[in-house]
Amino acid sequence: MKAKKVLSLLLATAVISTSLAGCGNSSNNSNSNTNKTSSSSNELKGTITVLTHRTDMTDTFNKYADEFEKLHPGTTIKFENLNDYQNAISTRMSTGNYGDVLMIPANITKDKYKDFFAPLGSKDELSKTYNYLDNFDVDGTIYGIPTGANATGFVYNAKVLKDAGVTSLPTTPDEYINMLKAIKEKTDAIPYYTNYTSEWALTNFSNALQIGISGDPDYMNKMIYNPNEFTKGTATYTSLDLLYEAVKNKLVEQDPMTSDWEWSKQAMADGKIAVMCLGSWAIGQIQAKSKTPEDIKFMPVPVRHDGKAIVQVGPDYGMGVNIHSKNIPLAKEFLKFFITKYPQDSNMFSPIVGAKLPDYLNGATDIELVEAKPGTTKQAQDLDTVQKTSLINLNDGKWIKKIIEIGLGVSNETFDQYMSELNSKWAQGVNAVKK
Amino acid sequence: MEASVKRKKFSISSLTYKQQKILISITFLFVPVLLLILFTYVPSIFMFGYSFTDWDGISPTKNFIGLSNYKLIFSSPDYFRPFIVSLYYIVAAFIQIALAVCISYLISFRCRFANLFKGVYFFPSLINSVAISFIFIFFFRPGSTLDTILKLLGLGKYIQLWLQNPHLINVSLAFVSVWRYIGYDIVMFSAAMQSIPTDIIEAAEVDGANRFQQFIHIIIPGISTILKLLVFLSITGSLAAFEIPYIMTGGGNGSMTFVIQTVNFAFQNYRVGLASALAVILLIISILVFVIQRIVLQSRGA
Repeated sequence: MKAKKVLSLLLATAVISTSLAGCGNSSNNSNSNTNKTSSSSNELKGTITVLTHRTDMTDTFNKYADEFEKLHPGTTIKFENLNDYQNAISTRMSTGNYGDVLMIPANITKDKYKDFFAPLGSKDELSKTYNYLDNFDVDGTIYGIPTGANATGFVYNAKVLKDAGVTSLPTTPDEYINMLKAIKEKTDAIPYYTNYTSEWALTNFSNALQIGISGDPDYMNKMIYNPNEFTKGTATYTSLDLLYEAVKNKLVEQDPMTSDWEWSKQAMADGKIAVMCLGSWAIGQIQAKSKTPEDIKFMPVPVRHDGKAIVQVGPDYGMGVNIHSKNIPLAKEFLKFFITKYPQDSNMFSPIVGAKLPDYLNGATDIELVEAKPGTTKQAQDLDTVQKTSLINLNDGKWIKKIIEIGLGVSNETFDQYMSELNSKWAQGVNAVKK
Repeated sequence: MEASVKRKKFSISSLTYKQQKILISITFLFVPVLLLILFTYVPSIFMFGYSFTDWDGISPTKNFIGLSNYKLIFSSPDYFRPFIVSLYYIVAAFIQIALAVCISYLISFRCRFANLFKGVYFFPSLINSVAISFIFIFFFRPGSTLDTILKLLGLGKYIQLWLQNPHLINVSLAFVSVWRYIGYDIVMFSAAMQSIPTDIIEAAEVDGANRFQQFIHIIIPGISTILKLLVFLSITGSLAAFEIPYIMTGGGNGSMTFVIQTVNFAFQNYRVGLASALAVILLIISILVFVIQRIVLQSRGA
């Protein structure tokens, strides 16, 4: 009897202590790593964890890890590929526990980099090796290296356009809509696929196309201070109007509310979808599903400046090193290694100076690649304020969905009403900055 | 001999019955209460604190801004518009409960394969909401499952764009919600019905009460405790409807619920302070609903 009672007490304490032990576990692990590294001063040894958003590239990343471990015996690289990366990582970043090397989430503003990331070197030194560093440059110190760069515009299936009798790419918004109409009339393909349920696919209209439309690499910084940003004639309006007109003229899928990104890739590969507004990074994914990958091509925004299409090339996620990392030298070394591999494998432009451009852009004569002018630290903060006050986040597609709803005729507002509503909200944000 | 007596004094059996009861209760309750405090009460208290700040959820600093968040919310009806959507879910919740009571009455008394039916009805509650949402996106797609079924039944002319039509979208989503949660209600009700003593029912039968009269006068009063509980849970659940509309539509096309709005403010606009204030308001509304329900039911003498 007594033994039983003692046993039950023991079990209870065991349950309690194991349930608590879970909390302390991870810190114990990293402690043991530091001991290992500090004992062998200069050589790279130990374990680091790399956090990325590419749940689809687990196998490739494991190969990177193997290669790196062979180059530097005694090291162990662990990848953690997170679903819904931005949200998941934001939560983890408020604790110190967010891996050693990680993709820098877009919502961390520049002024906060020094709290979260270890400096990687000076701009003068690193810019000899890497392009597109501006987004990660805080007063001459670099906190992250872009894992690649993308052009934003329209991805299309060249065969469908040919079947529709479209011989040259559109150079004005009207020509663009006419092209979609021709596709609708002459082929069975869906002219434009909205990807309504994938909000990230809609943000190209709010945070990327404007530079191509205006031809001004500084546009995104100027719009922070423009209280009339959502009125007719601005690049933002034109950009959103490209989406609205396509939906209004029924040049999109029958039911955007049940759209499916994975399906759309296959459908474009098979010629069932003609055009989608995407970054060039998607080309590789679509080509991989196609029997005729050379048909999947990139089209700049339908606006020309002196006969040239301005294509904005922007860095993808930057990669940084956790400032709380116990093994910063190893983390930095792995970061450099990662950048030599990842851009090619994910069909992006490599940030390394002098690297070759991807094929889908090679030979295009009327294209001028520009890099968006980076915002100053102040501009970044101001943009943050404008977005928070206006509740219009340029990197979030929720509010853009409504434009599709209006186009479908299921909303009780008109496009002009909605744009003026957005405009007054944005103006509130602009005012908050001026105060 | 003396030693063993002494040792006995420290053992549990030397305590009085009452002391033993207290000791055992504490030991058993320790883990759940600890987890509850750690993951429910402490975060809630923090949330109250955040609602008075302009914290963005990430930065190490947060500024105290007093009641500004609350002022902002109460100065615009836009923040409360999602409650209109909740009405759809509340109506659906009552339909769900009514259906659940009927179904569980049918399977609890003189039904063959009762356990099989219970299993079948309970099954959707075992699948997680994300999977269910994806299933139903496919289900509502034009030319997909639902449309095919309607065509087979000769109801092809009633086919709609279930998630695009602004009058139907919330009905469609509420339907998914009913499908998802009805199994749980059925299991709860049939458990309650089985605890009703059979001799009462037999006595009623002898007295000539038909099954409908039995249902109204014996079954319903017999399950009233569970019924009240589930009505309360369904109403607060409707106010806080989240996963299914969030995954299926992201709150687009007029399906925005209060919780989706709150989550968007917190994680899309990075205004955790404002979102916390909204969450506090939802908490207060839920408490109010509870109090009102208690008062209404008590005044009826139920």
